[in-house]
Amino acid sequence: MIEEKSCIKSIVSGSEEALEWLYNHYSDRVFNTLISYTKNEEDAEELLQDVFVTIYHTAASFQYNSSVSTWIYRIAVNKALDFLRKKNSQKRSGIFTSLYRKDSGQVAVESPDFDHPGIKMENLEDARFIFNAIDKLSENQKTAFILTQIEGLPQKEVADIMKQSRKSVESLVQRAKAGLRKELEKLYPERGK
Amino acid sequence: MLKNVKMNMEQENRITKAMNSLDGIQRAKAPVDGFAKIQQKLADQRKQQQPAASWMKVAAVVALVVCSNVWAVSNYLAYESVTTEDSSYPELMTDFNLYDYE
Repeated sequence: MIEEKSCIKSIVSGSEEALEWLYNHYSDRVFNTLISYTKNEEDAEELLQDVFVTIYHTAASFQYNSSVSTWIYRIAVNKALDFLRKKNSQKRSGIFTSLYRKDSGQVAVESPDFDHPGIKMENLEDARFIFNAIDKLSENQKTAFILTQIEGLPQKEVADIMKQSRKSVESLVQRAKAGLRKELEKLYPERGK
Repeated sequence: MLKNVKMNMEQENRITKAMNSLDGIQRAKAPVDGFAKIQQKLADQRKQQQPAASWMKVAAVVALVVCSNVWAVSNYLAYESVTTEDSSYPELMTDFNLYDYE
């Protein structure tokens, strides 16, 4: 922990080596969180870069009485939610937007089925439905579910990241699970036929 | 009736199986060249900031030149007004009786 905080101090003074150290330490965790929101590796990679660029520029505002991990996860969650809001608003104004990505010229339509790279082969199909259902949860339920169930963080840390009480995180996770079950109920009778 | 119960149980099993599909999920690995791209982004941002900084220097020099010109002109005008309003000439004229032919 002391090492992490001295690392932040070095980043404040402009050290890219310190940023690299932090990247090596946190990139997998941040990427795993981001990919659960974006359901697309390219977007998650882009956001991962944004997160660490933001860390580099805002290290001076880090509060040394809080944990580095919490701070980094908070930046990542905010970036991911901003990305989803932007994407949803683009979808709403879809009639005016191009079918192609502005930067690469590739087709912007995403695949409806996302396979998380960390899912066991035998669970791939079921996990696809879960990830599609996660999209329908509210922002807070989504964040609580992703951080506790996919990222495996303790509820206390998730509460710190979300600036909420542990109790409310617990309730958000319960409601998220209930919401997911409801979505799956709608889906499975049709599939059973 | 029995068929309905069986279908409900089947549905429940499938839902539970789906809900448990995230158990034992492995963490996705970040791209290997990720940090190189971050360094590139930071370098690009620095490059974008540099032209702005050089424009600031040019703007500062221009402002300095304009200010010094304004100061010089206002000084010149002030000097001129002092000379025109000099009241010592009539006194000199009377003291030495210049132009006094009487």
